[in-house]
Amino acid sequence: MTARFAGRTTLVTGAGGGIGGACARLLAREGAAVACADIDRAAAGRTADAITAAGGAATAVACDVTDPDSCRDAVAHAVAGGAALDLLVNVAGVGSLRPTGEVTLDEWNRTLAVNLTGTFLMCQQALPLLVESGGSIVNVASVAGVRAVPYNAAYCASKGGVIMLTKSLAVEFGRRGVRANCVCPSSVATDFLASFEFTDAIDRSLFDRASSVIEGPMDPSVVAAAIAYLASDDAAMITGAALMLDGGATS
Amino acid sequence: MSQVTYDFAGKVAIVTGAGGGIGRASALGFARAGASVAVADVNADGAEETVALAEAAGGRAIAVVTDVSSSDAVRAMVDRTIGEFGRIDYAHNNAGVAGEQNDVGDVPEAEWDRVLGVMLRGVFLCMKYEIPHMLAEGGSVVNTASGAGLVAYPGQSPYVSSKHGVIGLTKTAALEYGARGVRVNAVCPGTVLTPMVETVIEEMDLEPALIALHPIGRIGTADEVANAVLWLCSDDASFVLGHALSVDGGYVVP
Repeated sequence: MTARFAGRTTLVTGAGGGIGGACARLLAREGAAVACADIDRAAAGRTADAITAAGGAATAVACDVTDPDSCRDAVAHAVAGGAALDLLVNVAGVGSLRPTGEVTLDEWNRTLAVNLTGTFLMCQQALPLLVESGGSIVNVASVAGVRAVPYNAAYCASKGGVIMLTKSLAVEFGRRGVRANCVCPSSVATDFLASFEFTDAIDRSLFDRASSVIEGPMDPSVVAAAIAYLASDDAAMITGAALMLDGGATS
Repeated sequence: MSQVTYDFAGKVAIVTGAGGGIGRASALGFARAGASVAVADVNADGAEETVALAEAAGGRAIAVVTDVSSSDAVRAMVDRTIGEFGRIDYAHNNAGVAGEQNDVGDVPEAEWDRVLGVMLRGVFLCMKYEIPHMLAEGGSVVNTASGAGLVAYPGQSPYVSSKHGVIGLTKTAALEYGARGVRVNAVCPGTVLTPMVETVIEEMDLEPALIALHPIGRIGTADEVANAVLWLCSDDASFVLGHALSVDGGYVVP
């Protein structure tokens, strides 16, 4: 395997989950030192342990991306010992399936706080270091940031926001050597997807219009592969992209 | 040259417009990855040069002189590829022409037909005759669109229309063939330093203005577009379908 990330220091949020874990493992297999951040410290620890058991370099850190201090601490943890920060991958996200009338203000705020504000806070903390290293950012947005998914208003709004946040950073920081891109997966086989409850209040026929023509859901490793590509030198001219991993759902 | 060494051993690729620039870079990329390559170009000398470069890199390639706007020529290109190599796994439909600078009211009809003939009809004809050979074992098609497939450039209505059309054609074919194992995608380069472009940039002293339009602060290379083509053809892009991937340093970021 090519070691695209040999000598690189990376920070992955949501690293205790399906996509974040797969991403952390792939980056580590290709030579990166990975700081695995998750609000669930134990889950981050399991990912880091699996990486070190396989001979890779990883540490775990608790991180609540809605808290600026926690974001600052996670970035500091990643570069403890004087390393440069080369890559930030924002995977941490929440969402649920619920008729919009039943969504509480707390739930709306929480979804925006984690998915959108959390991504912003992590980027804000990491950018000074990424400017120094000429590093890059890859955010996990979603097909829901481009194409409407019913019963998912807060999630769609947050992911649409992540896409424009990414593009805005790409334009603002391109001259300073930092690339910013995002991936937009459709259904990924993770615990997150499995947590979606299809109650009687949900009209399943409304989902048909956004389905992919390739059999899904995709494995988290597919998302990790795309993140690694965008982060790699082979994508040196790609910035501000929202790479759709949707099996044609937005075509 | 790509950082990743893809393994396309035993596979066959067709690249049109492979006599120089982006097409040459991707043809060489396919060859280095172990694929046999049909190097198609309307310019025989350019195609032969690319073949020589591919062979010098240890690859296997043939030159196929092809005007992609001609149905007979495209069929002959596909037949020759099948005759020489027995299969088609990848196609990079890339042949293009530069357009004259005219407002819509001043575009000669022949110019409209010429530009769309190569870049829209040409991509259609290539896919029409390539994809049937991919259905048995799966395959991947990448069409060269452009930033001009996403936004407009005044004075370039034939070019812009053809590239917008390439993206629509790409998405349509992607939905038609995705479930049958053929992925179809497009790349959207910004300004790329090819010999042709370099000459224009130098003559008109355009480099500072062009760089200013790219947030990344520089102009791209043909290899950087080729890297995206190779990645889209690889198994790592297994869920990428109907996508128009910008490789432009943020040039047309909406």
